[in-house]
Amino acid sequence: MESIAKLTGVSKEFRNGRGIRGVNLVLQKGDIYGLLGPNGAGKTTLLKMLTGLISPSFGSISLFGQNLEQSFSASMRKVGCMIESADFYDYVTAVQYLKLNANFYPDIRPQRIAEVLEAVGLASFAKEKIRHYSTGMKQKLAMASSILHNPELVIWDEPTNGLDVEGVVHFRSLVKQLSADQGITFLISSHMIHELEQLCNRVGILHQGVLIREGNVQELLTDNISLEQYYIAELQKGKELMENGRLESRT
Amino acid sequence: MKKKWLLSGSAIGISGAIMLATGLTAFAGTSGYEDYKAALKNTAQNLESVTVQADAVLKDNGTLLSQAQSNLKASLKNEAVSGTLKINGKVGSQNISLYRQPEGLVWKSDASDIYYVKQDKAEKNDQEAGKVTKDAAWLSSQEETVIDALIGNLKNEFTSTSESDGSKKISLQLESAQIPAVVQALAPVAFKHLAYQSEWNRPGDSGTAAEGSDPEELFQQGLLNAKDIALTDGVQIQSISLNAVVNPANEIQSQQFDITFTGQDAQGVAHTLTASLDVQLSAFNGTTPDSIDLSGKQVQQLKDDHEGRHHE
Amino acid sequence: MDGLRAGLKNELLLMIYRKKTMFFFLVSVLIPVLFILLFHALHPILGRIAVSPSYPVQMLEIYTVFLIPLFMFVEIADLFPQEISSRTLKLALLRPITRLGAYLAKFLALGVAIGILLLLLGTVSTLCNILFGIPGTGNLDIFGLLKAYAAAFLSMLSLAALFIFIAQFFRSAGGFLVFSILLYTGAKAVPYFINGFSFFSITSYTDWYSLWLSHTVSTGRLVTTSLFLLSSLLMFLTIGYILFDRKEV
Repeated sequence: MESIAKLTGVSKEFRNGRGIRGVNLVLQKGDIYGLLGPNGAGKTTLLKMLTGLISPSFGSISLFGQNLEQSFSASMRKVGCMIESADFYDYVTAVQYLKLNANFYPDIRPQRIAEVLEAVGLASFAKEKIRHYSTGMKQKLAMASSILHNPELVIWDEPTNGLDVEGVVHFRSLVKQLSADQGITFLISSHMIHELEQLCNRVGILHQGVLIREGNVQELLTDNISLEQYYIAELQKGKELMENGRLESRT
Repeated sequence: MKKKWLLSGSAIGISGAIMLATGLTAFAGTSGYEDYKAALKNTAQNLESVTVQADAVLKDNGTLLSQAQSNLKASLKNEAVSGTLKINGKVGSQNISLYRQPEGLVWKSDASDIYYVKQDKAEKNDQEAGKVTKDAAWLSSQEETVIDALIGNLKNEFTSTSESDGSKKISLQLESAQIPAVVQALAPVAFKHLAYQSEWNRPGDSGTAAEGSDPEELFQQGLLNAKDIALTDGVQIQSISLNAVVNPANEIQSQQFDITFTGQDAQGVAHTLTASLDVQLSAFNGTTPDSIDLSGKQVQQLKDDHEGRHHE
Repeated sequence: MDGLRAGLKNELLLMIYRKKTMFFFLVSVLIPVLFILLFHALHPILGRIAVSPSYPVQMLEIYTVFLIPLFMFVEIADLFPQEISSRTLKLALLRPITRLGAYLAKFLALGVAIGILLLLLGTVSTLCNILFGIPGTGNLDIFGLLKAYAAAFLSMLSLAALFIFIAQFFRSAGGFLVFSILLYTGAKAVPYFINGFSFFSITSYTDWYSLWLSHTVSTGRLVTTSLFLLSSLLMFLTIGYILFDRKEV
């Protein structure tokens, strides 16, 4: 299988002592990868490094088999993402905003904008200024803009934030549909395990900057009743491991 | 990665070096402005006595409105001045002799035998105060910095050419577009002020005729008949030119200044007013002013009308 | 360069969507006309004030000292610190455009906006002269006018590069705006206290275009001052880029 994204020994240290330590991660074509972890585990940092917003202190990152830094714009052409939070220029309308994005991809058909707005359920608010949007609507717009150019890899950071129940259901079906129809690879982070349980084929658990466990959802589920149980158990192990590590370093 | 750093590093290095070099060139380069300033400073600082020949001409559309020619001998050390002043105006011509000596300023018109004497004690105090600071620089470096800053980029407009005999010609030529908007905006204000002031100083023409021999009146009448230059509309400075010759001893030998205004008078007739001043300096520190003995002569003391204003 | 074209187009569109850009354009069109109205109002007091062919150049002085720097600070505040504080900088950076492309797009967009501002001023003030000018105040020297405006454009670009560099240190638009206005007025005042400062300060070059109107200024002087402005443009643009490139968004 073709590797879509590959992180090798990626580390990033922040001044406050937190960061990412030695993460190895490979996304295969067609994966719906769930990046799980509690608040502050480093999920957003990892995604920012993967998309070039911050550069790693150590390690290498490649997208579509190319070094990210060397062929940044060529790689990013095939990536759609929403990182950290859905922020926009609030003085433009959704259509204006999507048109701005479309300028980067010369081969986008004009009707594509209406299509993606329809796909995320924002068609009726298309001409409204983003200033008047709710958090959930902004989240939907961010999704729309990241699938605008038919990317091969979609990276979404906490996509269900601010979505209502209906929105979450819609989100899941959108992911499934895009994955099935176009074979898009997804990397989705969340701290809400049950949201990803029925969606992902692979998950990774990030705890205090370390990818403590990675696995195939089907395999994990045979050993555990639910992904949630597995997740809690792994986090507990992770904590113990960290504490033992600290004790060892003291003695 | 390395290539990027190499590229941006060399861009900063090269541009920084050029910036520094061009800045230093401008900073160290002797511009005409610096030459002129140095000559002015040198002339003023070492000046003890000098003979001045000055010629002021005011022309309207090429015809002479008034002209003043003077030949003055001045000694700064003794605070003495003597000389003659010749005024040609539309109202006729006047020759005035004037002396500045310990009893005050003495004026005499060729047309009469009366000597007018004007004492100004207030000024004397100023001069005594001035004496104390005489050793200090003529222009403090702080004032010089302020003037430099005000002149700004006009500095670059001064040109200086060296002659074979060691003298220098310095010139400044400005056309209307080059004159700062603030200065340009002052032109109509100045003309308004001029008209206003002449109304004040002359309650009626009949009064002037009766007192015809007061040189101060004559002077104003001859040189500045505001009615002749009463531009009211569209007043602007058309050009300013300044030419100076600096001798090898770095003293200003001659100084020419021309300013041309264009505008219309109240009747809508277009005028081009040109004011020129041509000053020749000679006999640096080798001039002795003449003095006049007033005993036995017809003397009239004059009160200074403006004295009250000075004290305000 | 990858994405630069789209990036520039987007930055320009965003400028138009921001109301203040259009407001500044409107003001810059109105000011020459307002001055004409002011001259008319002053007619009883000062007589008719000359509107001559040098009117476009006289207006340029007001613009390069006040209006364009102010416009520049407002736009730079929106282009850099505002994008950091509202977390919208990533929107452009996550597209197929390099950091250098995104940075240059912002600078070029500002350059285009300043160019438009100058173009509007030149056109309107020339029209004012044609319509309200007092006859017999000289001839219009189109070539000289173009030279002066081109020179003013270069000095404004250098000033913009300096303040884009400064903007990299700010995370809030308000803070940058206050600081840059203070810094600019400060830098304008320093030559009154320190001799020689003006030779090294870009802020002293706002009226630099007047050299290009002169017949007496030596070519050498024009070359050195042009080189100074060009090299400072390149230097601050590059340092600004290095800071922008290292930004963790």
